[in-house]
Amino acid sequence: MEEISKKDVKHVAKLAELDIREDEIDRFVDQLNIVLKHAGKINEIDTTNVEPTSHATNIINIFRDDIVKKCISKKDALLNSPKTIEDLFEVPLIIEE
Amino acid sequence: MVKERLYKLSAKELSDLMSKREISSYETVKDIAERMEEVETIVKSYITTNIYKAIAAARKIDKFIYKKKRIRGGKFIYRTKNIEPLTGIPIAVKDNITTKGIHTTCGSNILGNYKPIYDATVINKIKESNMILTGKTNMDEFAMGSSTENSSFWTTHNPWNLNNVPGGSSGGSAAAVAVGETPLALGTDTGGSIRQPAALCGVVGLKPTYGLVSRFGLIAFASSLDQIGPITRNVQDCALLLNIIAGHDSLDSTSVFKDKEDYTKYLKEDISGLKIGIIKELMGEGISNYVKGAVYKAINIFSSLGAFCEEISLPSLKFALSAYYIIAPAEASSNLARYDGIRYGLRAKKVKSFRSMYRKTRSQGFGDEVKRRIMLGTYALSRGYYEAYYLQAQKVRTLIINDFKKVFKKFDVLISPTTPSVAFKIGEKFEDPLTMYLSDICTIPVNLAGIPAISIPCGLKNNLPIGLQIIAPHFEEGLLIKTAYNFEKKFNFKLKPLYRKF
Repeated sequence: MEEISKKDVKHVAKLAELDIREDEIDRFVDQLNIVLKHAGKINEIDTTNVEPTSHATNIINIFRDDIVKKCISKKDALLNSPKTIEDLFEVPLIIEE
Repeated sequence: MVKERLYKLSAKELSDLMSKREISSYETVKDIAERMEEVETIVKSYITTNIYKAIAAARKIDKFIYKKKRIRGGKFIYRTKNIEPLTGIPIAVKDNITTKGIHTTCGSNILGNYKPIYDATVINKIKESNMILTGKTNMDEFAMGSSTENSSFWTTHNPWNLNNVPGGSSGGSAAAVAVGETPLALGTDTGGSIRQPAALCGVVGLKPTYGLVSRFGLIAFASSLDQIGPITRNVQDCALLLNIIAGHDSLDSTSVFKDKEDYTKYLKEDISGLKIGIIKELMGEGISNYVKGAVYKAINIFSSLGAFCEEISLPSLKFALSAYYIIAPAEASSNLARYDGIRYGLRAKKVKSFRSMYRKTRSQGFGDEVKRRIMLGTYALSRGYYEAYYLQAQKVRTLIINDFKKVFKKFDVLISPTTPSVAFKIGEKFEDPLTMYLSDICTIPVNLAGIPAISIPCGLKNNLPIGLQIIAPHFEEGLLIKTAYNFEKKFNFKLKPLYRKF
């Protein structure tokens, strides 16, 4: 498995919406490479005709009747928001120039 | 005679005394509060203590327990004759389980001020059982870690040796139980986070079958692996607490339909004829010799009790840690995308655009280990790497499940060490993620298979506890409790920090 580069780390950080400082990048590159090298071992095992498991129980779909139940109030929903305006969440400008 | 301090008693002992009206819930909580004063500044188990509310709640419960009624002949009887088990008993809860109106930080700065507007299902259950919440315990940020050093707030100290870690991520819960700051605690286990700290603190920790305990209100880390479970000082308390938290919940779509069981009925002394498999792959390289020695002594104890022990091999376990460090971060990277600074949690200041708010909030709010795992998961899921990492890891997961299925045809339970060594020094593995990850090498396969496992003390090295892991097939918690109970009776472990002055 190829090594992860500085460029890869920057790209992945961007995908994950994280700012990584220049002085942190080398450390992350080293640490991620060590972990990925170990994780890459999974490719040493033959998995031909093996189905992937995404879940440890056999439950597939859970259905229930569509009944309206009590839900949280607007006031409660806004209680933990760092910034609200009247009964709305307030956010900065979404469409960038 | 000097009256014995109540904080030293197990939940069952406290409950029995309350039933006989020899002690009150108030006296119990008061003594726990005193113990907290003695040790909390040194051990630092809790992020938030709830002791004032706990005392008020205890007084309320006492009114109900002690309510008398006059009967014929001028005598009094108690209106509530039989007190439900664990009524009035204190419990600590890991800080990733949401508690209405009480700070729930998940060990992270990003949720530093978060006060949930609802209770998790397990919290509802402990409230309905009239148990008393002592506080929220310290943990590695988002449960990512094996030492509590990744907590955004502080590191919890192991009560056996304050220079050492208590394990993690439920380190606060395990330390609090070990030192007498609560008789019972809830932890959560994604790759070993209940069993590993229980082992390092010399207490009992059970990870139930995936789906047995509702995860509604548990802040998600890796949804296909996370499970809530009890941390206690003995197996009997473990069974009592599991009775309360297990059960189907329509609010958790991964919760399994299953008839309610009374786990205390498995507290019986008889395991003759029990077939125990010793996992070869977890008794080899990377496991300290003294740990193997303690496990071999445990095997002798099991044999003396009439159990049949034999070494068995699960070849796919060699790849469990590698598969886990793809699957868990991949799920985490997706679960943690919700921390956007809008509806709850931290929001970075002085941001001009939406995107910079999102990015700065996450960069300021998450610690290094969380960032590492988000990046690792994002990478494993990204184009060009998905097949080699994520899909392959899921296939390895299937092989691990198959290996367990195969050996459970021949054996009732399996045993291994819980951890490769005793508690390590604070700071020793902090800068070296892979070495830290290796401390979960024995516990991770169980989460991947979704089966239950328990850790119980089985020895000491340099006055630090060693844990024995017992593993059972899906929904065989009863068998785990029975096996562990028999071992515990015979082994007779002394939890020293409980008697220690700090």
